[in-house]
Parts: sequence; C-alpha cells; structure tokens
Amino acid sequence: MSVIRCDVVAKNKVLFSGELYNVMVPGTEGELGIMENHEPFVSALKDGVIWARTQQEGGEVLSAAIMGGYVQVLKDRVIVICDKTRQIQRINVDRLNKDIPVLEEKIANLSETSIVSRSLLTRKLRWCKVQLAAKEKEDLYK
Amino acid sequence: MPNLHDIERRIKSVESTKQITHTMQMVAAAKIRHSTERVEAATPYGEAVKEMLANIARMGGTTAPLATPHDEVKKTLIVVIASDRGLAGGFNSSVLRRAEQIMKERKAEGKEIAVAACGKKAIGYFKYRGIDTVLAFRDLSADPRVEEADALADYAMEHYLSGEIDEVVVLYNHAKNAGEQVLIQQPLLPVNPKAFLPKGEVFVKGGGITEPTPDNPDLPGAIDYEPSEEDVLDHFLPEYIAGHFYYMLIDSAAAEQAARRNAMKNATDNANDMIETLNRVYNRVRQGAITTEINEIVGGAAALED
Repeated sequence: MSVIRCDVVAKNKVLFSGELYNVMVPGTEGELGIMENHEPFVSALKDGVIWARTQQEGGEVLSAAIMGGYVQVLKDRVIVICDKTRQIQRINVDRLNKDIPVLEEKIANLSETSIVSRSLLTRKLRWCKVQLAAKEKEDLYK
Repeated sequence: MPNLHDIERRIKSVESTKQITHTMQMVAAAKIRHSTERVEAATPYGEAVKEMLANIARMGGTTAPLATPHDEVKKTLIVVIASDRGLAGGFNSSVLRRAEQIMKERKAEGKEIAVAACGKKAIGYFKYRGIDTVLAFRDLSADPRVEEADALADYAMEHYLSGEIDEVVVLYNHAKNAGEQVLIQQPLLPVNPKAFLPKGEVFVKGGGITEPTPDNPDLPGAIDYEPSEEDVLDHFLPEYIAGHFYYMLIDSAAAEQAARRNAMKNATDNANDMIETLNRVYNRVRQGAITTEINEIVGGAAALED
C-alpha cells in the first residue's frame, strides 16, 4: 500500500505525525489532494480545513481547521506547517459564538495607536471565524 | 581568638544568605519546568521548518533575496540575547564576552558592527562601554513575547534587504538540558538552506535536478512553487526568521532559569559548608572558654585551701 509520511505542526503543538494514505490541503490555488509520488512542490495555504485518511477504505479520518500555513511535498514526505490548528471534533461552537462578539467589540473600541493589540485581536477573530467555518462543514469531512 | 558573639553573628548572616539563595534556587527550579515545556512545544515546528529548508537546498536551492549572500560583508548585526537579572552564574558574562570578542575581530578586519541587545544585563554592558545599540529590549527575558521576536526579525530583514546590513549573527545560550547551557553563535541572515542538510550530503546548485547519490538514487525534478517561488519564499523565509528569533528567545529563557538554579544551588552548598566550619569554630571557642573558666575556679579554690 502506498503511504506518505506526514507531519502537521503548528507553532505550539503537533497535530499529527505519522503515515497517511492521502491528505487534502487548501492551497492558495485550490484544494490539493496529495498521495504518494506527488511531484515535489511547496505551496502557501489558505485558511480552511485539512483532511486526511490513514487508509484508502476504512481506517481513521483526520480533519482539522488550519490557519496561515505552508505545505511541502517531496516524494513520500509531506510537511504541513501552520500558525494555528485544531481538530474539527474539538471545536467548541458555543464558546466561539460567545467569543466572536467580544473580540469584535474590543477591536471596535481600540484606539488608533494600539497597532500591536489590534493585529493580535484581528488574528484571534480570524482564527475564531476559521474554526466556525470549519465546524459548519464538518459533515463533508467524514 | 575571635569572640563567641562575633562568630554567632557570622553564622546568622550566612544562614540568612543561604535562605535567600535556597529560595531563589527553588523559584528557578519551578520556572524551569514551565520554560522547558514551552521550548518543547515549539521544537517540532522549528524542526519541520528546518527540514523544509533542507529539502529546498536538496532540490537546487533558491534565489530569494533573503537567501542570497551580499557580495561583500561590510556591516554585521550582532543580536545578543542575555537576561534581565544577574545571579545566574556565567549565563550573561559568557554571551557578552563572546560578543565583545566578535566585535574586536570584525573591527580588526575593518568591518562595521551594529548591536541589538535583549535583556537589561546586555543593555547595561554595552551602555557602560559606550557602544550604541540599534535595538534594545528589557523586562522580557523571563517571558519573551512574539512581538519582540517580530520586531527583531523585521529590523534585521528590512536592513538586510536594503543593503545596510550584510550579515546577522545571533548569540544566545541554548538549554541543552537542565544542567548544561551551551553558548551558540547562530548565523541567521543570509538564510543558508544548505546549513540544514545532514552532514556529508551531496547536492548540485542551480541545475534544479540533484545528482543522485547512493542514499537518494532516484530524486525527482525541481520543486514547484504555488502560487510562485517569490510569493511563497517571500513569506515563508520571513516567517522562518521571526519564528527562529522567538525560538532562540524562549530557549535562552529556559537556559537562564537552569543557569540560575545551578548557580544558586552552588551558593547554597557553599553556605552550608561555611556554616559547618563556623559551627565547628564556635564550639571550639566555647569549649575553650569553659575550660578556661573551670581552670580559674579550680585554681581559685586551690588557692583558698592553702
């Protein structure tokens, strides 16, 4: 059976490390499905969902929301790095729905000079929205 | 012969010093765990990025501006990562000594130097010697933030790309383990993907297709970049630089706590030794005083008998 050795790492954690049958990533030029012997390439990724299977039929399915990443493929080696990632099952919609208005309000109330906190908060908000969008599409990735 | 009271005071003073060093040791030990966990969490990301850069080198390298060395190295930026507080053994002095040494070498070669200092100890050191720092960060050595790393990365890249700086070197203490810190001199710019290849691996630059070796008999063709090589690498390399700065800062923070614990442990041990010696002296002096007193009493009684 063909396998790829895949690592999915965020800045502060490892989401997955091991062998996969295939992996789908949201490339900037469109969704990319990667299997063994893919041509070597490096691509930037859009915010979205990464989806992988350990086996062609059956086996485990991995799906996670990711933000701000890159993917590199070389023969059977696939590396995905990103700023943030979280498995879809573990996304808590209630909490996100609570957090988003709070963050929006904070951003609206910021003074013009606080550039750092603005970029920090907008990133947080963006991450919340990415997670929410991923959760909505959860059924597609099963 | 010192008098009893003096020795008693001495013992008390050493004991209170010991209490302080022992407390600092415990505090540092508690902080080590937190800071090493933070380094461990960031390590896989760093390793993945290094592997990606190594793969890029394997596939013929890149011509991105951040990875292209300047024709002539005229000005070097030295980023010195030290700490805000002392009492950490040789932690600060080893970094600062090496920085001074590099500056001397470069000056002897007629090259210019710019210094960026992280940590109050580094800032104070350069200020005292009349060396201007282009960037200075304080109050962050125990808990470095991403913004600090971003500011350093932005400054370094902006001035590298504009040609004002031709080389960036970072000096910091790497926390090898809880007991050992290693001084590392890390060249950061220009990015050299070849440096991430395992030692002894052969590759050919420029052609796009790597020469097969016994280990890699059938290498595929050149890397495709999406959307384009410039777009990807112009974002990926800065991300690597900023990420690596952050990694070095947290690594140095972990090393600082470990160094402080060791230094304070040694100080506590020394205080214990000293207290032991002083106690012995104290007892000897006390015994001497008692003997003298008894002698006096016995002598007095004998004199009365006669």
